[in-house]
Amino acid sequence: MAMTVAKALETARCNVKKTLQELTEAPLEEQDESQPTPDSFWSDLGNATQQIASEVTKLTLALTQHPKPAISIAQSIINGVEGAWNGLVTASRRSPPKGTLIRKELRAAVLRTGEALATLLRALKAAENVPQLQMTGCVWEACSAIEKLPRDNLAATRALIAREEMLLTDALQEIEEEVKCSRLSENEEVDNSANWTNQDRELLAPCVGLVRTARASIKKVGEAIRLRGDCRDPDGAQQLDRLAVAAEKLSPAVDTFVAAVYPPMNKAAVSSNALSVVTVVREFLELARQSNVTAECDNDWLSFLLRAVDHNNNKVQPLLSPD
Amino acid sequence: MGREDKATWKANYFTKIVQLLDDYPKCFIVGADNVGSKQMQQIRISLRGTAVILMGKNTMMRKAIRGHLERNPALEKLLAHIKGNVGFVFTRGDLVDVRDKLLENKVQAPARAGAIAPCPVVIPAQNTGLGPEKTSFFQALSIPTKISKGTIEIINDVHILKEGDKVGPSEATLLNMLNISPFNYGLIVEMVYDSGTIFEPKILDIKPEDLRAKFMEGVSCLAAVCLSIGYPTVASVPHSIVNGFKNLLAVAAATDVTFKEAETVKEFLKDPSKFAAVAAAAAPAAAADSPKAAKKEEKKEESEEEDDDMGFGLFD
Repeated sequence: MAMTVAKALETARCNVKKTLQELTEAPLEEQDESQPTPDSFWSDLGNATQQIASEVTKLTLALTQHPKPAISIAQSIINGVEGAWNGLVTASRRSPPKGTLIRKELRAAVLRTGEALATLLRALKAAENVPQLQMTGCVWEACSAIEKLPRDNLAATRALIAREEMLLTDALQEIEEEVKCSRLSENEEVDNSANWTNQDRELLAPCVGLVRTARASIKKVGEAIRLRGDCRDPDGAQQLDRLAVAAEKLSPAVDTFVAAVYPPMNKAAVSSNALSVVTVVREFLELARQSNVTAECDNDWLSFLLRAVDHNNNKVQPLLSPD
Repeated sequence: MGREDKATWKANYFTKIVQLLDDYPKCFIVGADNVGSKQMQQIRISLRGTAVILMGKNTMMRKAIRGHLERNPALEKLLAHIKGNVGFVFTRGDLVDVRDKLLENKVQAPARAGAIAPCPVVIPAQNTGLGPEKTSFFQALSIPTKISKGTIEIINDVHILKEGDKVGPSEATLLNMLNISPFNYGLIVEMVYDSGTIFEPKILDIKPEDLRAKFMEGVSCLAAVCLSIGYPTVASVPHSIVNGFKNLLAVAAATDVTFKEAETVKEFLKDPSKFAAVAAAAAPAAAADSPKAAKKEEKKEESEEEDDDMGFGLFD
């Protein structure tokens, strides 16, 4: 009997995995693209996630307690779990809100639920008590994450900008702290062989300035999005998507740049990474300037930030030239 | 560490983190605020053979992980959590065991001005042994004191800090004067990563009781729906029976119809003072004979439990 329940769990896991694969490969545009998002989209999705959470609870409870259920009962509970999972996938693809970012986030959250479910089914098959409970908790957490998803492309963009701003702030604080510590050790006249050389130190101010500019850019554009962002028309949603893509490039460029600045400084790497930061920050600011999230009155700070990027880069590059 | 060593360290750091991510299927992201290097060393020793700790610059950790995403896309989930004073604890062992070892390695620390209180702090009522010249420190925090045998005595327990409060200079000075080290610092598990899944540490503590509680939530909802639409199921029938019985009692109370179970209710309605007298007599008896009272309490609890099983508690 145990083997048969194990087989049923394995079959269900394979089915979930297959759906996961299909969902990963499916385009973000749905077949009913022309249809508006129904008002009930999020409540239907919420019901589907609640059903998964309930069915999974039922399944774990039934299979982790004695006496074990008969195969027919176990099979019916497993079918319930599979049905709930298919229901969630269907609900998530029925005219979802317009905008690439919100759809990506929605899909990622559904995939996360499916992955947690597949892992739980594997743990139940292996009959390992602790992972079973933990993986059930992971499914609950994934379901609750779906309920907390942003509801449209504007909310999704704002959330992404906030996340990216946090990472840029973290990078800025880290390099500022390092520079501060290095200055202290310089004053104490300790061995600086593991630190920046005096030549390196001349670069620190414009390097930190570049990181500061990147962080200020995302902060200001984030504020503009909060004020004027609009995703009700397809053009507005696309503009937000483009800004989100550009924003996601900032943190990787800044992290790579900061990592190169740390001693021992690799000047060639610092030079090329500084240029990368300049490129992504400029692209981000230019996109913001061209989009509806900024107006005439925003030109002042946009120009200021663009000048700041060039200023810092113009200070960094000559110091890094081989001569 | 010489310049050469540092250069090698920087180059090897990326290889090291990638290797650890490949070798270990599980890891914790841990917060290391207020953990000194000596304590960190102790934690490393206690985890030897079980887990490996990796600290470092967040920018370098994120860069290394991004560089490894092509081979392991699931690692992307870690990126958003690498912020602030964090590090990794890699393991192949049981996550709960490793987490418990991290918790064991907390050390007591004094309250420093500017720190955020991780727990509430209470100064117990006590004779402080401090001379009257120190009264101003207590007055600054409005702590009621009296002088007893030439020393300052705190009259009542004082809740000096709530969890999350910022420690002020006055609080820090006073706690240090009283030799109270109220905080425990160690590595705090912020997120857990296990074979591509990332989750909150509270998930490690899920017990079968939590599962049952969640299941009962579903049963309550089902029973409520069934009662509302008049569709009897195993979940709703006990409630239907209780409701029916309540209706019978109501009819019996309002008419001359009677049956054995309704007699007490009818008698109570007829003469409530009789029951009040019985209750009043029971109270002093209970106070006089405490073991007997405890026994009665137990009995009472039992009957309440019976009521809970059948009552409307499920619909809360």
